[in-house]
Amino acid sequence: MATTRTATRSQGRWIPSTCGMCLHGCGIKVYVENGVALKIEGDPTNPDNLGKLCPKGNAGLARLYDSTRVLHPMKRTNPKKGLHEDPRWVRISWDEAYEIVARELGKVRRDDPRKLLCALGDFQRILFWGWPAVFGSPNFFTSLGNYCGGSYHPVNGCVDGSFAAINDYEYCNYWIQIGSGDGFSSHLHLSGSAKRMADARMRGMKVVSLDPRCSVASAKADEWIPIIPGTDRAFVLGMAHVLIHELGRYDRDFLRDHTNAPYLVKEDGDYVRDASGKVQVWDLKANAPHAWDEAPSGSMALEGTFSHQGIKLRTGFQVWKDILLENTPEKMAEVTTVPASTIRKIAKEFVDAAQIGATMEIEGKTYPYRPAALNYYRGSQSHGNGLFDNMTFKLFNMLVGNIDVPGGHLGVPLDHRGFFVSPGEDGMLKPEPHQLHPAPPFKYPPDSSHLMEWFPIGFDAGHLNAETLLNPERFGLDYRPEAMLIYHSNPWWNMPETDKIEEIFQQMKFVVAIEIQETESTQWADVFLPDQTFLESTLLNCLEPPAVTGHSLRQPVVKPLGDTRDPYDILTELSERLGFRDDWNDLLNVVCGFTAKPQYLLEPEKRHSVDEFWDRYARSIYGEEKGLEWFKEHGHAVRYRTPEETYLAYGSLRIPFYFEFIKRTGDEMRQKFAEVGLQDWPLDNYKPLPFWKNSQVIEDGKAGYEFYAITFKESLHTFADTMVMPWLTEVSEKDPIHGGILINSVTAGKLGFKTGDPIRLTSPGGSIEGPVQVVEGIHPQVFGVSNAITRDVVTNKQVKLRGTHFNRLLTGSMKYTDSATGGLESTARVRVERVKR
Amino acid sequence: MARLGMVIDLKRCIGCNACTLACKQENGTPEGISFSRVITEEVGTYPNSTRTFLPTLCNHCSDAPCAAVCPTGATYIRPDGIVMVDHNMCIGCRACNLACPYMNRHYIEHGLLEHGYNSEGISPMEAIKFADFDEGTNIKCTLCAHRVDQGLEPACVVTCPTDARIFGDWEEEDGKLQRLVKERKGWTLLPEYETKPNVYYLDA
Amino acid sequence: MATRELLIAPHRFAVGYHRQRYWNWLIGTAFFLGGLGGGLFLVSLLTGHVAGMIAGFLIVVVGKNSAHMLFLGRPERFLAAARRPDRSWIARGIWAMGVFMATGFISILLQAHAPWIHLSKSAANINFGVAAACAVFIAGYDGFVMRSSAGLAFWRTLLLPLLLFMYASLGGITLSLTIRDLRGEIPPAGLEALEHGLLVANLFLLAIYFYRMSRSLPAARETLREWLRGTYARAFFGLVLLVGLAATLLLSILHANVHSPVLVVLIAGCELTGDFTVMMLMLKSGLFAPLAAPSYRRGDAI
Ligand SMILES: Nc1nc2c(c(=O)[nH]1)N[C@H]1C(S)=C(S)[C@@H](COP(=O)(O)OP(=O)(O)OC[C@H]3O[C@@H](n4cnc5c(=O)[nH]c(N)nc54)[C@H](O)[C@@H]3O)O[C@H]1N2
Ligand SMILES: Nc1nc2c(c(=O)[nH]1)N[C@H]1C(S)=C(S)[C@@H](COP(=O)(O)OP(=O)(O)OC[C@H]3O[C@@H](n4cnc5c(=O)[nH]c(N)nc54)[C@H](O)[C@@H]3O)O[C@H]1N2
Ligand code: SF4
Ligand code: SF4
Ligand code: SF4
Ligand code: SF4
Ligand code: SF4
Ligand SMILES: [Mo]
Repeated sequence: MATTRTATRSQGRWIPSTCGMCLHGCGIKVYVENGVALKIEGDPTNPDNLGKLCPKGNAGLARLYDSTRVLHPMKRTNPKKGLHEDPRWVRISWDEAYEIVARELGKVRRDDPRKLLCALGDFQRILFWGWPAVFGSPNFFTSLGNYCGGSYHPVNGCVDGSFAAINDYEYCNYWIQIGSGDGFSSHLHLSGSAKRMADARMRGMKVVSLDPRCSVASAKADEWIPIIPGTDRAFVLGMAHVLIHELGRYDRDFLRDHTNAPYLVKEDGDYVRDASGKVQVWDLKANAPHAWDEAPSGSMALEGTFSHQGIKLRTGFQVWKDILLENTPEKMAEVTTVPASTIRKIAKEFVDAAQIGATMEIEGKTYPYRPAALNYYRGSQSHGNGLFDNMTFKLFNMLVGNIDVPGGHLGVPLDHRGFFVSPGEDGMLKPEPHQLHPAPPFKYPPDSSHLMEWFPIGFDAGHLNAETLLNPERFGLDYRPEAMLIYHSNPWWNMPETDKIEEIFQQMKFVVAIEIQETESTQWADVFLPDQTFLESTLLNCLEPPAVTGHSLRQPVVKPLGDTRDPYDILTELSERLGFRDDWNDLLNVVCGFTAKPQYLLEPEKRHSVDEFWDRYARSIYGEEKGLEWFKEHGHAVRYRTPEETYLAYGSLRIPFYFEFIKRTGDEMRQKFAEVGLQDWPLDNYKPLPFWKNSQVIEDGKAGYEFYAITFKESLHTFADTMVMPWLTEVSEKDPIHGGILINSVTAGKLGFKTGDPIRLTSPGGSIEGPVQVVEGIHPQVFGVSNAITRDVVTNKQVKLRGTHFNRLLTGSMKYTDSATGGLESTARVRVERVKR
Repeated sequence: MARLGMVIDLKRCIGCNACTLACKQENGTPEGISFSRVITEEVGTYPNSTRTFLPTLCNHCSDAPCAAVCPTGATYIRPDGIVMVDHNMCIGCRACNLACPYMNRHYIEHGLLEHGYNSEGISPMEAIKFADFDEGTNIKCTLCAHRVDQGLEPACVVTCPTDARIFGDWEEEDGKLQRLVKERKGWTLLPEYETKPNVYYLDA
Repeated sequence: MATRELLIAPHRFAVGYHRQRYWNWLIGTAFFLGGLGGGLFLVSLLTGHVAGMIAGFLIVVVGKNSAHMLFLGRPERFLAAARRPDRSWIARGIWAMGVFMATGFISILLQAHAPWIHLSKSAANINFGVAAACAVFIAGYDGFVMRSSAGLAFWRTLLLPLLLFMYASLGGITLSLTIRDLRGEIPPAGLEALEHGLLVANLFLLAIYFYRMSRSLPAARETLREWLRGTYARAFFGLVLLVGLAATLLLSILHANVHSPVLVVLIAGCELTGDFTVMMLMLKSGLFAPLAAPSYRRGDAI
């Protein structure tokens, strides 16, 4: 008989924990025998991922046992630094490592703490992101969050107090997916989302995918609509035109009763207020303006242009309606290359499916039922006018009244705290554009190198460092950074304008990295502090869960390999040695919410252990009896969000249709900039409503950059981080979509390119080289560059390095940045040429 | 007696290869050997093109030609239908590799077990899993017999994020496998090779 | 990818035909030597030619077996291969080989009138008979082994063992003629004619084989295309047809008039080249069929 001596035993020791192969943290259980981890499976008791694991989660053991992991503290002995310069590491003790770091960072801190650049990327330990602030540095030297959600998170936060969003897997029947991998390849909690998406499709839900490239979502969709990158908003504006101007079908009740669409605005864009300051609506019965909270809902005008005391007044809805007049499907077809008939068809199908007016009863409560929704993420809105993109997508959903109702477009909270719902002004929900830290007050000269004080509604625009740090005078930066702390991030990889980023790295006098492996960024490190992988360390995680809420525990499943430390310990030890442990404890007390539950407060004087810290965190949320020990046994406290938590959380508070808050913020910024005498700072995008205008990328086309280049993620990899894992690359390098620079066969034919031909793409920002991969599934004007071919330094010799680093094509300047949110432009215009082998 | 097998629903499958990796970690197969693999292809012409995904594993054929040709009896069919190899009996003649029309037999070349997936050395996990293999012999998907025997489903099945892989027993009258295949007109790969596969597929 | 013409797939995650790479030149050599040695032994036995018997015996026992052992992943366990003669041609081959080694050896001793072996007439005849049967088996079973490789459509025909047996006989006869010629012996009447006949017959058999394959499964048709117009066309037309059949035939006709050892060796060289090439082409050109859903194959319009 064949025997299997080794694998999975049902009766063996299974340790519940949390996946750390991407930020989302699915529930796992790990089979361990004699101290060796032998199998990772999804935790079937965790409703987040329902026992499912994506390919990366299934590769976790390869991360743990990767021979190229760094397992001991090291210091650099080669004073020369560069991407391909061998740091000549030598092993040192933790004590020596801490001593060097404390000495060097201590110097910086005493001099001017702002001189420290920080690249913190550990989303599962988002609670620790305040460490630089305690150090005294506001700087965010990395492009995560804003490369994808720079405009997305603020708009979600303004609309319904959510951090992210997703369509209702349970009840949606018609799902438009724009530039996102949700449910198919990426974005929120892939493992569970894929299951929910498959179930929804099996019960008959239709999917339409807009993507320049035949993504998995597009391949599985009922209809794939290829589109010119960065023009998705035009497509949706065209559909909104169809709904409003051609079909006259939209959810008037929802818009009138749940949004500020009926609020009257003047030609200057401000609300119309009465003497007491109350925003006015038009009362159709009285044929006169009326305070918003006094007019009977039934007679409140949703649309119309009115005249009162000689002033022209329009409802917010009417303003957009007027804007949309010019966005005919024909015009939008020219912009997007999507035929006008398709725009009309999808709009019609969408509104048909939305069943405006229908209701549904869930657990005894009646909700509107709108089983049609538009979902989108990075691809479609990480663009220079990302704010307008996001607003457009949200408004289009609002037209059918589907925001946070069964079947519709649902907010996803940042964490277990749920939506941030509190009353704002004028009967509105209080906008929460900044959820990771309080919106920074305006300041000139700015403190932060990424100018966070100038983006009150954005997500930290890390990519702007490329512009500010190389021209500090232009921005009034009155200091020059000297040191860098990298923790769970690869800023060399993730930021645009790689050459400039390298220049900044080169300027650093001291760089410390808390990492598990050597990367492009750690090539500049002076000291390397080895972190533990997710299978060796402890935390409680709850991040952007689409359908559930509650924490999962990460716990060590094996004795940590080598001599590594938990980041809580590392950051705490550094705080102590740098002399601010008390402040660090205080900060954790605030961000963990211990201040509201004083019995859990970390004692300022005390050095708490990792377990002690998480134990307090657990008990502070789940009660005295559910501490770390409880979690170690049960693994998680995850449960489905209740209908009340999911649907209509904003209740009777109105959500913005007319983004008056954004306009007002812009007006305030304009004034502040004027006060400090900065006239030329762009503030164009602080608009209350979205419209179509050509982006810088489209303009670049006129300068001879004929094509577009895009980047994308797929299920086998997390960014390009997992490119160091042969288990995954062995599979991904076999898929043609990771084979090289994707070019449509017709375009390739015209250019005379065959698969494998070496070519160079040149954008206004830079150039990259790589082999051609001819495919059908990409728009003829677009080149696609998978993340799976974009690494330049990988220590595992079994990985074939391909080094076609997409971000060299991007430009990290304000010209390519949304002036209101700081969201970056992640698409580039390019020229192409053949290169000699 | 049971006849174990699987139904793979191509409509559900998103080609993610979680199955491939789940099998990799469950069985610790050496470099280049995947019992489970997802065959991808681009079909059609732009803009009417798409990508297709076809997850595969051993079909545990009722008329398994790989077992029929095995001179040593190393390849055998268990009473529950699982086609297995006893590597202690295998002489590495590779007749089975040629007999399987689906390329689901894998020969472990000499030297292959001397290195794992790491740049250096063999990981502790590989060291343990490699003990199940022998250079110069054949291995194949076991339908995770060691799991099935403990009442667990195969690794690729439990992980599949879309539930595209459905494991069961064909002998179960009106069981889930039979019902799915009837309802959705299931089919097998390369029926013309007359192997009587026990893995069926449902159209995308 | 407008057309659905399938190519040889670069790896197992891609759709397309896959070349078999499991059986290499070592097993090809083993099969070739088995056929050749078996054929030679048989012809020599039937014509009572000791030198040929010895040569055939050595080719099989030393040549074929070493190549085969070298090929096996676990040669030390080769005896295990005898376990399933009920279903495996390889197992049957092992048995035949064992019996052949004994009876063949005894046959040689008897034929050479070795002084220390004495068998009754009937026992000797039985031994001859068994040895001959084993030789036939060894010369022909490789075809059955290959035919039962159910994954490769091009091999799935009874014509394959027939073809390989015909080639084995041809090789045996040619080699037998060569040995006799070099030793200055006169070959029995009709042996040369038989050789010529086999050459022509093999040509016809190949034609029939191809015709059969042209109506077989797609993978078989694709293999055929590779023989006639693709990767293997030059080897097939050049080495198999021109050198192996045509040149052998012409030279051996010439040999009727011109007697030269060089010519004889040349004839053998040509024939064996064709013979070996057929075996290697058979092995190398084996294709696995593409795995794809019928629904994906419904054509270009999706
Ligand atoms: N598997 C996997 N999952 C992940 C991650 C990962 O790396 N791997 N990363 C996590 C993080 S931090 C993020 S931000 C999310 C990102 O999740 P997604 O937004 O889903 O990921 P992307 O692949 O960046 O972009 C989605 C799609 O946009 C397309 N696209 C590019 N440009 C355009 C455009 O202009 N218009 C349209 N319509 N489409 C366009 C791309 O081809 C791609 O298919 O995923 C998270 N989850
Ligand atoms: N070309 C291109 N650029 C992009 C994107 C893209 O799709 N294409 N996506 C953008 C987006 S949306 C984002 S969010 C950013 C993401 O950018 P990053 O967050 O920088 O992503 P990674 O490159 O995965 O870097 C994470 C680093 O963390 C390390 N790491 C992994 N596990 C651990 C651990 O347990 N401990 C420690 N200390 N380190 C660990 C990895 O080794 C890796 O070097 O990139 C942005 N940049
Ligand atoms: S989606 Fe992320 S957290 Fe979940 S299994 Fe995959 S890699 Fe792990
Ligand atoms: S894990 Fe499931 S969805 Fe993913 S490729 Fe395999 S069968 Fe398809
Ligand atoms: S290689 Fe092993 S399992 Fe395969 S046929 Fe030969 S002896 Fe049997
Ligand atoms: S699929 Fe191949 S290996 Fe599996 S039983 Fe059938 S013939 Fe044998
Ligand atoms: S059944 Fe088990 S051995 Fe077979 S492919 Fe699935 S995971 Fe691998
Ligand atoms: Mo991101």
